[in-house]
Amino acid sequence: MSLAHILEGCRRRERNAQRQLFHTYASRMLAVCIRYVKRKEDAEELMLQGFEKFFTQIHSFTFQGEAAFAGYLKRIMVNECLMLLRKRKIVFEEIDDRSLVVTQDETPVERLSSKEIFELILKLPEGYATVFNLFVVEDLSHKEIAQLLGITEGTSKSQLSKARALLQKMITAHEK
Amino acid sequence: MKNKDLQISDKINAHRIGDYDPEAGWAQLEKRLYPRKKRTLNWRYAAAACLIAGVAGAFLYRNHSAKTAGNTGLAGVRLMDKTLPIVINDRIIRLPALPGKTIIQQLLQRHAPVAARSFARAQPVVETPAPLPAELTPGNAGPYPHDPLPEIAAVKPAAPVDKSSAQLPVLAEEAFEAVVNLEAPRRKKENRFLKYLAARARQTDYTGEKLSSSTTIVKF
Repeated sequence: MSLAHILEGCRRRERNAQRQLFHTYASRMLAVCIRYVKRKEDAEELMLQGFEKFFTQIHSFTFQGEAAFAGYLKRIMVNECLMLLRKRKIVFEEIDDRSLVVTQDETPVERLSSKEIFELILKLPEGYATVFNLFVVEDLSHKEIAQLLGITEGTSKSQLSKARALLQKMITAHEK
Repeated sequence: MKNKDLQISDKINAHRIGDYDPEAGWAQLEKRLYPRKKRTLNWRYAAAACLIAGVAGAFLYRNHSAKTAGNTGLAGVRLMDKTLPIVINDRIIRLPALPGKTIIQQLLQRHAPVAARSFARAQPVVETPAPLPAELTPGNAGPYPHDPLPEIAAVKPAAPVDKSSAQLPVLAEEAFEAVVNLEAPRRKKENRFLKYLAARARQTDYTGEKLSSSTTIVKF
């Protein structure tokens, strides 16, 4: 059964179709949520909220291909996570470490597995990780990030720069 | 930098959480999406519980009523076994206890047999005042010689009355009310008690003898 048929079934509120869609995307969406909130229990809750929102508002969604659908679903999850982070009032701390300078050296990213990179990102401070995820993974601009998080563009740039440097340092240490 | 970002982005997007049980997650999500199933079940349980409670309530009510009526009857029997002060026209009189019979027993014996109860009351027969019985005269007032004289409008010896007369149950009823409570409204329980008395009076007196057809009309 193609994704279009599954989504058509979801539109008709068929449980089998909803179940199939959930089984297909649950693991991927859970990873998205964990990247933002870190705790698995919180991430599961947010993912379920996101799916619930999608199934109840499916009539406002127009299917334009599998990639577009995955992006749409991911955006719902990210919004759920950001809502929780706003409630938590995340602190965009500045780590005063002069060694955190982004170098142009070639970093061995390609030698790391997806799991290793994922775990390294989870080790970043909450503010760094949020801006890094939004900029690098979700491909948002600093202006959009600033609007979403209620911070200035400068803070967003600063957080990203520090996040890159810290990640580079962690990758190098991991390689050694 | 952009190239590195792309590499990181691709790797992160390709990552899946391996130890997640989607079936358990779906079960939770299904509960949120379809809460009505549970509500319907609860509604059915609630309806069944209400039905059971209603049946139990009706059963208890019936039993409670019967018990109350039974208690009233027992109280009446106890009343008959003792000589108690009688309130007539808001005044307490203490009739002398006649050997072997209580006042109420005497009254009931005189009234019996009683016809089927009629709700269309006949006008009570107005009797002219008659001389008090010898046992009720001031000089012969039994154990309470200083009590005021009883006010009995008319107490006549038994006179032959038609058995089908509608006055008979009324008389029994009035006797009961005079003894128990003049002012109280007539309720179900009293009516049941009166039925009990009437039935009892119809059949036998306190000695177990079949009652005679003679009766006495007493007007309070």
